[in-house]
Amino acid sequence: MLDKDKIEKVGQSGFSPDEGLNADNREQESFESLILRTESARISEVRRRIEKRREAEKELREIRTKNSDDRIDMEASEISERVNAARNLSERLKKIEKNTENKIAGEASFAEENKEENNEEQENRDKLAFGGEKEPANENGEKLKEESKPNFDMGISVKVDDKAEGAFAVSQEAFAPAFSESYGQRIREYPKEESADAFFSGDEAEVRLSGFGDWDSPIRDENSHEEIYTDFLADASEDGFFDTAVYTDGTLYGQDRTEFVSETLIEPYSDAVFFNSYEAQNDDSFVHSFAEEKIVEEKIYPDVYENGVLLDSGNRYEEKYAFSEMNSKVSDYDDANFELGHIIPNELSENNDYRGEFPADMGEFRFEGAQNGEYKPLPEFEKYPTVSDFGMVLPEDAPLDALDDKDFLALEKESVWEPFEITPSYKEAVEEVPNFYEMNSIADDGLSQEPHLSYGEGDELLSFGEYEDSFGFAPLNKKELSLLVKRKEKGIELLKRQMNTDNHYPGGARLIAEDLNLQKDVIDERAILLSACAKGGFGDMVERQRAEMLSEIAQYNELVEEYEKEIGHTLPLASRAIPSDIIAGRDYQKLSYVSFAEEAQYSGEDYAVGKFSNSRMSREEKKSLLEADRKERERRKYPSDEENLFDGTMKKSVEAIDRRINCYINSFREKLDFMDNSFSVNAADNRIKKRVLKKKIRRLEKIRAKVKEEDLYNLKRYYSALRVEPDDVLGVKRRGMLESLSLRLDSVLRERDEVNSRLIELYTEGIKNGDIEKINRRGSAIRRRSSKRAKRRLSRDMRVIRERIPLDIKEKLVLAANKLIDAESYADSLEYRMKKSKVRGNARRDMKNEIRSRRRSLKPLYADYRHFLKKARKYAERADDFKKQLYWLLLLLLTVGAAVGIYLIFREQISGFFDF
Amino acid sequence: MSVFRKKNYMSEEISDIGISERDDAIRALEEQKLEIEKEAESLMKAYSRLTGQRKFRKKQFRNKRALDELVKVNYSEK
Repeated sequence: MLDKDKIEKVGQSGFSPDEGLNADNREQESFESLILRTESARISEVRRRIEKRREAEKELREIRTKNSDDRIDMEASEISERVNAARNLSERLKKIEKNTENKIAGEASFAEENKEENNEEQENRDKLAFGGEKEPANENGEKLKEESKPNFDMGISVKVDDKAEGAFAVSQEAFAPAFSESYGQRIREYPKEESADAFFSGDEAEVRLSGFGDWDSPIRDENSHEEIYTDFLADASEDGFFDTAVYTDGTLYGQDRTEFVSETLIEPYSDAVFFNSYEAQNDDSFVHSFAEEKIVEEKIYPDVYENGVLLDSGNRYEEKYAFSEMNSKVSDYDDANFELGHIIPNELSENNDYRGEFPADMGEFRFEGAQNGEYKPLPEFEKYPTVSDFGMVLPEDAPLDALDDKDFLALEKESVWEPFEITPSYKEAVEEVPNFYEMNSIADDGLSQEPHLSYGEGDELLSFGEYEDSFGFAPLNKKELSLLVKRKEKGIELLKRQMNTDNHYPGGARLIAEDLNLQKDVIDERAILLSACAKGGFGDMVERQRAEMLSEIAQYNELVEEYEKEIGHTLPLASRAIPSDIIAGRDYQKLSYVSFAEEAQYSGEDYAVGKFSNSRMSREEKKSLLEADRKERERRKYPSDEENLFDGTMKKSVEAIDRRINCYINSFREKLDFMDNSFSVNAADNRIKKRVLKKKIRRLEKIRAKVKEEDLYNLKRYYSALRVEPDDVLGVKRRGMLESLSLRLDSVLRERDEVNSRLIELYTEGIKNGDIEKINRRGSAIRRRSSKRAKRRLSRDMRVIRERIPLDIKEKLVLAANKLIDAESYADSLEYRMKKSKVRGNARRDMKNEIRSRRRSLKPLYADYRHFLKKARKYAERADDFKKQLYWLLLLLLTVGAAVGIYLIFREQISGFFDF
Repeated sequence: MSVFRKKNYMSEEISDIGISERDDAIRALEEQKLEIEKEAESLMKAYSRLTGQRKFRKKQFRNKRALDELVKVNYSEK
């Protein structure tokens, strides 16, 4: 990372090269070299950091392996150590309790200090941010001295994209509010002087934030850290903390002075920010997130004495920072990769709580995506092997058809296959391995309702005589041949690795068909190899290739048998005579691709009849096939179920949310209208209230779509869980648990559905969608008009509140007047609703009673109003009288003053006048 | 503890829920829904443990929470 000073230095030196340079080299060293020098410093800094991270990771691994070893043979000494650790923990807990009390007291004092500054808006925001909880009150009323030092220091690591241009700022001002909202932290201070830093492409940095926080917030109690952290990242990215080019690897770590926070704050691999976990998996510089925890260990060694004098006590307290991974990490990692069907090394699954359920012979990798029978190619084989995998070096992503003669000539020069004469027709022979899925789509068009076979055309015949003539395959020398063998075998291996051999399940004809085609490609490739070896006349190589080919043909025939069992059709087997024919120089008839129309397999009875017409099948086999068929049908019903689900349950759920939001928006709007058409004591106060209401309405409108999205997301989750089949879980006990779980979930979801429909009925009052909206709109308009009219009627008398009267009387009068207006307008709007809505029975009776009671309440309310108006007028008259008295007194004083003034001015004249 | 039994708005006929208790009914049902969702989430957690797939776990819920907070104030004001 570039230091701020360094950046400034570069900037300054751009304008005045003399500064910051050695006097002797001043002329030679240019501005560019200075930049280079700074760049190299930056790079070395980054390298240093990467090294540091690697070391940390290494240490982590060591600790992990050590832990796993230790777990196996735990000795008595270690047990005693653990007992000590437990003691330490209890002490720590005591400390924490004490600390929490202090904090609560601190909060109370802080709240009192800032009481004046808090307006209603602020309170509202606090409620949102801190889960609606009020500030904890200190019962004793003690004010503890606020701690001057910040009690937490958080950091989040960020990295700027390598390809990004320009400088990026990651400011703490953006970091702090998001952090505050998500974690329920009351951040009182953070160092503003370090508020912004410039980052450049490839920079890795850590943005730190320290302040005064409350770790025991209600948000943290209610929600898991994973949820809070996801929220925080989402908030921060909304606030612009993460630029498109700036991302984080999800590492957030912190150190609290109370030494207990750091253990739970880390949630790595969050897909909220982490776009491509696979990239990170392969990225060398990527470091798995870890928690940094300070551990104080008490170790007892024998005391050291010399001549009876104690030189060194055996008790030592060793402080160390242990890097402990979270238990949930692996599951996080799994989830990030699940959608992609990526491989997950078992090494990472060490701490996984379900690892015991996987069989030990699963090898180095297990396939997450293949669990439900959905095979997706691994990232490294996302593209099916092309000719380049079989020896040719082709420009990447260049389809063979697009290459013209010149390209092939150019390729010839670059190619390792120099001895061969490469012509355009070469591509016909060594064509790209056909894409199975594409082939399916072609076969599906228009076709049969049952699985069918497509046989090769004339070009499938591979004549080695022609092959040699056309493509110039002269007998190769041994070196060339071994090169060819090496390359071809690599390609064959790639093909074999794509097979689903271990994942075949009853009813999974599609996977077997896929494997059959791959095996067919393998045999074709082997045929070419065998032919080349035979032409070369190298007996040992021929023999080896022949043996390989025979085993591959056997595998192919096994697959054919398996496939036949599944689909009930016979397929031609591969002949074991193929290798002998090739060696003898005869033409090789390529095997056929099997095309599989997916939906045709379960298309109905016709197929079932066809399936069982195969006489080779035993009764048990037929029974098991029928069972598998039923299961598969069940599986395949889901998509249509989901559609139905969306029409029914999901739509209802979303509608309930929509209605809920509409209901509150309407009520807020009615309140706003009422505020416009009612009286208020304090205009400024009223303005603030209005602003808060408007803000609420805006917010509700803003979150409407998001809430619906969240709800849909949740529903999808729930219903996808219902789809988990017992076969997907290993272990009998777990299967039983799964069944009971799915029963419970099913009933819970049904209940939710019922509640939703009941809610919709309540919100709509059983009226149709368009009608209820119209009624609501018109009802609000009637209420508005009515209240306006009432206000106008009262406004003349209500002028009295402008007079000098006591505040409480003023408030009571305003309240009485507003109640009057409210009752009148509500009764009017309710009358309209009753006319228009179709409610019957008790509800209608209740509505009538409500209107009647409102109308009746007008009289006492009016009496109240008159009473307070009278009082107010009395006070106003008194004030008026006082005003009059004051006026006369003032007049008198003025007169007296004027008389005195006149006397003083004209004293001599007056005395002269009276001087006889 | 209240001596009155809490009214079950689910079994009540919709025509029997009057306008004066409509708000109470809505509030009670919304709370019931929240409880159901909590239970569903705990079941999801169990699912994710059982199957080893984290996709069942809850990820984002901040908007819904914000909605609850926004309208909670209104209950008392109504």
